[in-house]
Amino acid sequence: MQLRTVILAFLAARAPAAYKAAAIHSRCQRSGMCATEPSLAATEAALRELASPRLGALVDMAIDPLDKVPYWYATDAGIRRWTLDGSLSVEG
Amino acid sequence: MSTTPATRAYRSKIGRLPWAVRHELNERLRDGATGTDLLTWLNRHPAQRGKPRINSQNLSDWRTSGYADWLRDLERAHHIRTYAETAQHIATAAGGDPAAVGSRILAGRMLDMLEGAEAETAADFARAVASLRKGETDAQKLELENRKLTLAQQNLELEKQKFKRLTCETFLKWYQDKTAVEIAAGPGSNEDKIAALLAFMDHQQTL
Repeated sequence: MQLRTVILAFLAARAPAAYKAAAIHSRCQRSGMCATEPSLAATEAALRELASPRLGALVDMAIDPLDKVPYWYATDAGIRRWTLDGSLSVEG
Repeated sequence: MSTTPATRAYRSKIGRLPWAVRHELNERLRDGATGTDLLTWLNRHPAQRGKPRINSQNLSDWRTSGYADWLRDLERAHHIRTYAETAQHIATAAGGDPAAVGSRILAGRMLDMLEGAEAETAADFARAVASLRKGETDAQKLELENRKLTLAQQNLELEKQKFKRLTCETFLKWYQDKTAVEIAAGPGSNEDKIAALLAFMDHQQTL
């Protein structure tokens, strides 16, 4: 399964919760659902792709004012897409 | 860690079909499609072209394997959504704007804890929060009803005051009328005087 699909399913099911890229990477990796073992860099790249208007801005990020780290979350468009795609569950 | 449906390797004829086809099949099964209809649909599907025909035994096996897993997966997704809503409620109740990053981060951390907890404990917790939320909503509804009632009472009091004022104004107006005063001060019962005054007022209004 594509890393982007797994990331979106992980975030959309948990919306509005937001996670660091490292946490998303770890959870997607542990789920064992990705076609290939994802690296942190690949996870970050997939998150940026999902956030791009080209893919419909399915996720977004906000910087935590305390630790200045980006946290990622599914947008309404992302939740809608996840629902339409069958509400895939990601556990890990 | 439990194996998730997406990682399960289904070696059956149906299990080897693309994920989207299996997903649609599962939805059709859930919606109560008959076996005959499903087999016709499956065997005519482009993804099935050139492959051995899927028979009723294959479909029956799928019901107890892939379809059962799919239903469990839906249930898991539902639980996670419930936990996510619980975490959001708590973050909001703590005074946070649900869209603000701080609330989102807090919701994520609570969700991690709930997902890490025993299923029953997490479910109990989610139920308790939902119940608390319901209590709060009920209290807010009651408060709103009380406000409406108070407003209605105030309106009624206002109407009474308006009526009294109007009565006084009318009294003063007619007290300045000589004929009206004569009727009021004249002989006869109150009933007679009221009838006479009403007739006089009607007469005055027609002039």
